[in-house]
Amino acid sequence: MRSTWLLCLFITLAPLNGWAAESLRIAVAANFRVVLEQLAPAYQKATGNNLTLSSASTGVLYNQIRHGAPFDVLLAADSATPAALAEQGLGSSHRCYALGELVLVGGELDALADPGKSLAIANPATAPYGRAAEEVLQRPAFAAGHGRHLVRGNNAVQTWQFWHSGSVELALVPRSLAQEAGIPIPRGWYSPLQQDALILQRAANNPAAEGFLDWLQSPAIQAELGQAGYGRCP
Amino acid sequence: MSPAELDAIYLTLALAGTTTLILILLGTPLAWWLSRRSGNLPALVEALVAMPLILPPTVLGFYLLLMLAPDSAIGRLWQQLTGNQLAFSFSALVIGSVIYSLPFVVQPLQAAFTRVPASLLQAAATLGAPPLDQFRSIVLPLCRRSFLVAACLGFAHTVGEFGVILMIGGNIPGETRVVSVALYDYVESLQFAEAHRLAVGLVLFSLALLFLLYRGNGRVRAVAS
Repeated sequence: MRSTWLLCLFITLAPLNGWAAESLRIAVAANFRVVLEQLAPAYQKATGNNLTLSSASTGVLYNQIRHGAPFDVLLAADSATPAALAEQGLGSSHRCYALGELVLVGGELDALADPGKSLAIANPATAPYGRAAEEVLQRPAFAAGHGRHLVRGNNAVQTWQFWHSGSVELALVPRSLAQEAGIPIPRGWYSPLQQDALILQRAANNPAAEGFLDWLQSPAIQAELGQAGYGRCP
Repeated sequence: MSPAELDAIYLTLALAGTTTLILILLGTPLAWWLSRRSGNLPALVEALVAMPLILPPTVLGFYLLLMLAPDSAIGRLWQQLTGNQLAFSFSALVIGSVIYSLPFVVQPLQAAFTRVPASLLQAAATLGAPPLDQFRSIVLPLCRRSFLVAACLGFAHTVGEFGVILMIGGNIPGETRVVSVALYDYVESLQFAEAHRLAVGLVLFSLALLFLLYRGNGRVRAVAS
């Protein structure tokens, strides 16, 4: 009885091994997943290839790739992670695919100087958007707000959720999440949030990977990314 | 239900089923050994078994990631034996889940085995029953209910597992993307309607499983009194 059950299990699991063999496996940073999911049908139509998306924070993806995760392309939320992987010989064709933009939701810019307003930012230790938010808060004009109740989200999405659920009054989040609800932070107030791509070892001889990045950088798709809340690479 | 969700549900059930089967096979002799011995070594083993209850899943996941990677001893051995990479495969999830759910199976079994009177086993031994026969004819029938509890808890806990799987699975659709990870994906991508649907399913499933389990408890109590 037990062995029959095991046999059934093996038979049912066997097809899993060959699945999704022809599709391109993309490891994508959490903040870009929604946008890529919306663009994926257009890519499939244009090239006939499928995309399989796996998302996590850029740091988790870095650890997984270093330990043999079977991904073809990395779309990171920063430029340091792809650079580090390329240096270790784990990838090539390192390039920028989008520029993140920071916005404030919940009030005007001078609200950042008000210590009575609670504010959410992404964790500066792990999230690039958090580091950018910290740079903004360190401006002398906002020094008066330093005693405020400051909450740190695990990543940009969680930070946005803190605000969206009404738990905090203000939040510094990516424009791609806030859409028209946000007030843009001037570009010069924080270091550029360059999001870079890398073709990973597994796809070194797969022309589809290079093709995917070319498609992502094509004018039509870059225009769509602009609509979705990303700026153009320098 | 979208095909991606059905994939995730199927994967979750396959993972929990395989894990539970392995845990009962491994956990029974381990729990028996722990219930019949005392001293430093069994205490240490018991503490190790309980560790997954205390360690944060992401920490456990990180060490498992190092342990199962292609350049580790276990990863290399697996590659030589099967020809496939171990990390980020279904097999890796099974190994992780077995470790993570171990206390949920071993502890109820150990508690039940401890309550089996030694006199019964001695009586069976005097009648000439070898140890395996004693176990089958005395311990198994006495502890039937605890086996059910252990299996259900191991299964339910594996279904609800998240942090370890996110670290060692890599969130690959159709291979390592189980329901809890799919649910996390929905929340992260702000698809709250889909997230609610999966979450409600998970809650109802766990509630039903535990309800059926504990309803059985009541009956045993009623019979006993």
